[in-house]
Amino acid sequence: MKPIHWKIIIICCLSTLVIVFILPTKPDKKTVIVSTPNLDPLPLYSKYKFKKTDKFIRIGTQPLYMPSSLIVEALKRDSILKEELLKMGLKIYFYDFLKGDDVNFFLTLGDLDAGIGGDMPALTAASNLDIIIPAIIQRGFISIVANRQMLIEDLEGSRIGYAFGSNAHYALLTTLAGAKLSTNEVKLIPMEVTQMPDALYANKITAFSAWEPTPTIALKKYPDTTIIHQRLSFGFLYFLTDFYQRRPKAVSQILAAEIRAIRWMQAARQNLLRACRWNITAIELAFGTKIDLSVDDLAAIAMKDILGQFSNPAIIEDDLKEDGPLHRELMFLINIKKVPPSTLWTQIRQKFMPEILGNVWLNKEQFRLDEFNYQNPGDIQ
Amino acid sequence: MGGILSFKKIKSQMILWIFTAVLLPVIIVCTTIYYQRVTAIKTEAYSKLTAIRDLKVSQLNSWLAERKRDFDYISKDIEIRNLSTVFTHKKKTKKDQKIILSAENFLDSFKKEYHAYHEVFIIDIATGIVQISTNKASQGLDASQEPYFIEPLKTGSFYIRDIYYSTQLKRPAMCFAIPITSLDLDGKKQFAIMVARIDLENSLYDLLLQRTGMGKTGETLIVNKDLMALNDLRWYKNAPLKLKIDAKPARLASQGNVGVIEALDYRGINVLASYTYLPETRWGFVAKQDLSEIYAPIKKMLVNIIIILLISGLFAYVLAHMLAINFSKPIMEFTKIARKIQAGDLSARSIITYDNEYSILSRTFNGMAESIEAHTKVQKALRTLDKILVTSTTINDFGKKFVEKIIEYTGSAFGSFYLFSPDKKAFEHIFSMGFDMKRLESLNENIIKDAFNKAFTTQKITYIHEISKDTVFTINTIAGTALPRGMVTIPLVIKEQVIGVIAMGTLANYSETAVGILEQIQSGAGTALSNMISAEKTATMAHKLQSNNVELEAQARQLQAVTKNLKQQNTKLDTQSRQLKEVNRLKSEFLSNMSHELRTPLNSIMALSSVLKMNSAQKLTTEEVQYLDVIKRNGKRLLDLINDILDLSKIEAGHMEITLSFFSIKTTIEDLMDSLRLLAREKNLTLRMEFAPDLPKIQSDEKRVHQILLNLISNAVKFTDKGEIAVLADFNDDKICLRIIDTGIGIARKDLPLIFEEFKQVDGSTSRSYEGTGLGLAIAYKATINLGGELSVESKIGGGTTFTLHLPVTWQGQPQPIKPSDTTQPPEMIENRKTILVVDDEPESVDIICDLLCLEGYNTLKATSGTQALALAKTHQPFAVTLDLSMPEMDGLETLQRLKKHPETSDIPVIIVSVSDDKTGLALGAVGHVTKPVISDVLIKEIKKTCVQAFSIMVADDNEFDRKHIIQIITQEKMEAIPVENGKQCIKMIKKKMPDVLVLDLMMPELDGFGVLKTLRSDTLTMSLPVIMVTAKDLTPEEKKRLNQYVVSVLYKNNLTSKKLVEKIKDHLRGLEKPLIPETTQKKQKKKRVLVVEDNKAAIIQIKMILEQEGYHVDIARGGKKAEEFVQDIIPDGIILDLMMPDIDGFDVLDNIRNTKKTANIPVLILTAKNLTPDDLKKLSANNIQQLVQKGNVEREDLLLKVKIMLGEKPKTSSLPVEHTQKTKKAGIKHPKKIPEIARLDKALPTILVIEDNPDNLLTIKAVLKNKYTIMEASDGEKGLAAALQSLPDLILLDISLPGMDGYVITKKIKADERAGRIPVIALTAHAMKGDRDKIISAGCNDYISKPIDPKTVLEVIKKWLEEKL
Repeated sequence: MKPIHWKIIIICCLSTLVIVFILPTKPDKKTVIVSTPNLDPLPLYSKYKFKKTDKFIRIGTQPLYMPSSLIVEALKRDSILKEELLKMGLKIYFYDFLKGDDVNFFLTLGDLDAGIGGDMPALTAASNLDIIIPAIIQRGFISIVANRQMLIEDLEGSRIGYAFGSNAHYALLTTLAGAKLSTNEVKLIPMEVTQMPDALYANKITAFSAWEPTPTIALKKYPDTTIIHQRLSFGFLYFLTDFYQRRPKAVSQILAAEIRAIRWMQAARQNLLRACRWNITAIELAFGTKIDLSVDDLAAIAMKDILGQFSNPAIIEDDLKEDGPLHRELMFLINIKKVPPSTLWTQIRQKFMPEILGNVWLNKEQFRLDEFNYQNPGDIQ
Repeated sequence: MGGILSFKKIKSQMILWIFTAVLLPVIIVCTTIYYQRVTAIKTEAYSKLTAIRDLKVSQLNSWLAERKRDFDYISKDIEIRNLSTVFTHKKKTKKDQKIILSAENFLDSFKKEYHAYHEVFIIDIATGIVQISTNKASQGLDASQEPYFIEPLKTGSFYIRDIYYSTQLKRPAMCFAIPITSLDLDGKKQFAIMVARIDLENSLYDLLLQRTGMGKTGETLIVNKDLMALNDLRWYKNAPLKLKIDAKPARLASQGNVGVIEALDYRGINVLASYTYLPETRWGFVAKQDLSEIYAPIKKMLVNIIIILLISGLFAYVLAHMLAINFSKPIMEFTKIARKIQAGDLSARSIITYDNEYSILSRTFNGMAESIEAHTKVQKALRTLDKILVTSTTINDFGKKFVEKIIEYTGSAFGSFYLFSPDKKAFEHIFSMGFDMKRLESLNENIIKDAFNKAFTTQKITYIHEISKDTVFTINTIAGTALPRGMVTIPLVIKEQVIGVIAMGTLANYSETAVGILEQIQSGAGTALSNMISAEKTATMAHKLQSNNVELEAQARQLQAVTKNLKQQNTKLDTQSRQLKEVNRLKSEFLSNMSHELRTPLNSIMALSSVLKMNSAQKLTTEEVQYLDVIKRNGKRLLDLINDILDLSKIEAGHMEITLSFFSIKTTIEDLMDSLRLLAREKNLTLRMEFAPDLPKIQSDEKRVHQILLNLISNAVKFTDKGEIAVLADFNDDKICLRIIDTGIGIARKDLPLIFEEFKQVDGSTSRSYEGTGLGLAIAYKATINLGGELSVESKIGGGTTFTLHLPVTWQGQPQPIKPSDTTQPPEMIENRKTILVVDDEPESVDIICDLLCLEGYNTLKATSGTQALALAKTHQPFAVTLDLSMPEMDGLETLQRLKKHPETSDIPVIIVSVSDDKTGLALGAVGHVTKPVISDVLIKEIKKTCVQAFSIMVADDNEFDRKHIIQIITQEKMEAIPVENGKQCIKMIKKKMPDVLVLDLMMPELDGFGVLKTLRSDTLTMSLPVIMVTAKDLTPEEKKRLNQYVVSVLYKNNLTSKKLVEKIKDHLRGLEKPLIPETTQKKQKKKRVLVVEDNKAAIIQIKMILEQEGYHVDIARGGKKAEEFVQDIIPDGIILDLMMPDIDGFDVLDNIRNTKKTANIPVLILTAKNLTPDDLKKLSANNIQQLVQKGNVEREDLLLKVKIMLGEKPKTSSLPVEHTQKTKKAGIKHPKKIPEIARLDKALPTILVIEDNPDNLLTIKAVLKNKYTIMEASDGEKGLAAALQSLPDLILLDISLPGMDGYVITKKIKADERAGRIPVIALTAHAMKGDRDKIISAGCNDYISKPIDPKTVLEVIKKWLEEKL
């Protein structure tokens, strides 16, 4: 054999090795991905010192999850809530996270008692953790933002940014499926929502799927971009069952505070704007960056979504039906192996407990739903 | 271009490409425009529909917001809130009536303000009854179950009821509801729900039915969560709440999606739909328009584009066709002409007259055709001429044909051919044609030279156009003689030599074709002519060669005859050579076999004599011992001789192994001189050495060099009686020069050539004075040659001898490969057995030892040489090696050294098994030494003693720390430790595997140490297990006493050291051998244990050997103290006790033994050389001693008898008779010593004179004749002769080879004597070759006995001659 042939063989072998080692290995289809990566090393989370005693309620929140973040900001400052919890010997702490999966990770560790997440994280948590879900805290749109006006079908062959396992991921895949596009016909690029607008502008992606305020930020920052599709999505407030069983009244007080917050922001635009300012500050504190949106922009988002639509954060029975939206989302999570394939909807359904919120409504006076007292937040970690 | 774009005609191809080139840009432009337009139209349509959708949704939301604001306003109106007081009153007062009326008026006015409010009513929260309504008929109805009552009551906020079919309105309607709070309690108390029913026909539907900007097919629709249409549709009448719209846009919208899509609508028609979801009402909203309408402009544009394309295509085709015809027509013309030329019409020419590039092409083409025509003519002519050149057989024939043809092809008028003759050095005329031959005859050499001069000079064709009128080259024609107009001279040249000339002439000028022919013919014609000349020469030479061949054939026949003779001679020589080789091989084989056959019995003789001497030394007389020494010494000499013979045969056969190493020749000489110094001193010789400074080390075979020098130096010592032996060592560039100079007897000049021959001694006579085989110098000489050296000798009688040895500093030859071991006998290995390699050159010995070892449970490997042993040891890594010392080639010590030197075999224990007591082996690393004859027990014990064994020690201790500590101590000593944690486990484990020693803690839970001991001692299997008690407890005397009954040692943990523990363990392991045969077998064959307490080594060996041969296990205690220590640990079955010992005498030992409980009953046999006093006897009697053995006179049978009695065994019948024993016992006397046989002999015995120079032989003969004859002896011929003549013995036994005067001379002299001549002289000689007997008898001897001596034969012969004499 001539030496050149040896060179070719050697080059081929080396190339094969490089490909084998560099290309990500596809997970075994039988494997169910239920583990969450270790997030402790993240600078944001590494500074947290979770209060691990029975006297604290620890809630994981998402400042970049609009408009639920406005409700959370109101909760942080709700003096009535503090007062009621103090009566029970409890203090409440809020910890900011980038996305619902991160909240779930720390719930798994036992560092949190409750969390706020979209329907995907909530269903994931319901599959992998022992939780209860008593109320929705968000009902807004996931948007697919593209660099030009187009149909969903036109995304074939494009690179699309998304956050894995999130509501936006689900919305994207469902929309693509509706347009008869499979995941093999597009290139899905996992990324953080904060990176998406710039990536779209830099033509690194053709479109992205995200929840508010990211689409609004993109539209404002880069006016050529456009929303080509939107999909309604939910966010939930959920608690570890163990916590609920130990402190059921505390859970009711937090739900009452949520109702109060919605009512308070609906009562006057000034209140809403105030909450938006708190949210902007919270984002800066948590992530060290300024959000590219004004207070009015946030208010508009809020009005367009939850605040303009309803004042009762109750989970609607229709949504919990077999083959309803939440059931379909669970199937999606099973398909992407985010939850174990053995998970049954009936098991998940039992974890939705709207009656807790109903009880709050029945005792409006006890839970002081018509009183508002928002002061500076205390003990925010 | 292949494939579908390949055409047969250029024309078609050109049409395609021109068509494509024209049309393609048009298509690209049209397509681009089309797609841009389509995109723009689509985008516009998307945007328009999305804008309409958003506008409609905005209007819808505004409408809802207005309703919400209205309700909020009404619910807060005082008129309405005042009702709170009214509703609580069961009986309505006037005031109440007034308030109600006011409220009703307010609601009416409110209803009137916005026509869509069909009915407004207020429900009392407390009862759920409609209290006030704009429709009086509704008042008093129960609405408590209506959702518009329940939901706002629950949330306390505004409620919208989805579109439903209103029975009041008979069409779809909506409801809004809001709680009303009272004026008291800070306005927080809800007392009623206000509800408004909306008529959608005049409100919401109006909004949706406006289709501005939606063309002829556009419409908007809303669906509820169940996909039911909620508004009127353009294409479906009465759709609200009746039509389920299961179209994709509606479905997506109702599921919460917002977007734009191309899909089928509820009619199944493709539409562009913009859809959205309304969260508050959970409606899906769709604005859509038919795609056909949207894409109508696109279709129109598409038709236009197609028309443009068709026109462009047609134009392109016409253009392409015209261009293609213009291009292809001339080409086709050229093709026609080319085909004509191809068909052979070389005159065909192009007539194209275009005024462009085609004209140039036409001219060029015609030129080419002309050129081809001319070339063809030339080629034709050349082919003909070539044929002539090939077919011509002679030069004349060639000349004739060639000139004729060339005239024909060139149109010449005449031609002439001349050949250059080297002999004449002139051109000879060969052939001419067309000349005036008369004039040609007048040509002479000079004329020709002049004529051809230019052609000669240039060696090129020469043309002459101006011919002088006086030329001889005139042409004969019918009309007369003519002058040529042109002439051409063609020189035929080979290797730059003109060998011929052709001259041609023409009446006209030569054409180009003719010139071409002439130009091309020149080289071919020259070559052909040259070949022809050569062929003629070759033919001449061939003729000559043929005659030469005849002569050569005759010579070849003669040579064949000679070769045949030589072959026959070679065959004979080969046969002789093979025979010689075979003889040589047979000789070497014979020598080898003989050496082996000789050595085998000889070794047995030597070995057995040694054994005999050792075993029976006490029994033999001093004389008999000397006999044994003689046997051994002579055996050794004979062995040396055999070894020398073998060595020599190997060297001769070229099988000398050369093992190279660097060594100091100086050291070798010094060692040799040291070894010979004693001998030299005895002869009063001086040994001297001189070494050149910086004498280098040499690379050679050290062993061989040592052998050479030993032979030379020992030879010098042997043949020198006075003076000195000097060894001088010097070196030059590459050689060491050694000179061995003695002042000895010297060698006669005539004998010098013989001294290096084997079996030749200068003193080769029968009367030689010096011993030796005569092989030493021969071996030295041949070994020197093999080592690349030289050995020479200078000597003269009485002037000493000088041997000069030259050895290369570096051996230059190739070391002879060592033959692979031929002993690859497949060992029959049994698994789990250890393997021992048995090395002995005597196969019998090997077999005996192997059998012994097999019986003891070992596998064995056999090796009969050192080389073989090394190979087997490396290959099989045996457990141990038994090694004989006396082996040929590589002796035992060398084998041992090599084993220890090699890393792979260095760790294998080696036990020397030899007849020799030489302990050098131990110094070289052997671990044991066993003397032959091999006694099984001794060998096995040696193997077990010296080879590391893994004794197992069980450690029973509940304290983990202590247990681990003890285990660590044990494992450090390479013993196996078996840990157990308590007493029960200990008992259980012991039943599974019996350890060699048990180290037992006293205090343990459940079953303590006492309990363990009790269990162990009550079981016969474990009764004798040695137990070392280790305890942290301070033992009471009673406990100590109890323990002493069961344990062999007690150690205290507080002062337990590893040394102490190991010592105790080893004490108990000493003499304890690991069973290699199954335990049960061992138990069956359990040996009785006898402790011999003795300080005398000889006595120990004697007793030990006797007892061990009888099967007893013998322990030795060298002194009383040792004996006391021993019995503390091990209780023997009996003790043989010496009374007189240096440290503690036997009486004290006896007392101590008897005073200790566990030893009190041990039977004791006293061994003493002391004359016992009555007190001594009393003491012994008090200690229950009844057996005594007198030391120094130990009879085996007597000893065994007493031992057996002591041990309570039944004596064997072969032992001494009981009667005898009893008598002896009673008498208390020693067994009578045997009376020497000699004492019984008659003193008047015949006298025999033995003349023998060899003292060993003399002793042997004396031994044979002892007590039978009176012996006289003489050690040389002269003395013998004198004794014979003087003493006149009855018979003379005469050795023939005697120093001084040999046997022949003596015999002659005796026989010559009158008196002595009658004495029978019997030759006793080793000269046993054919003819020796006759020679001896003829010399005068009466009889002949050959050595070695057979006593029986000797006695018979003597007896015969004495009887004859008598």
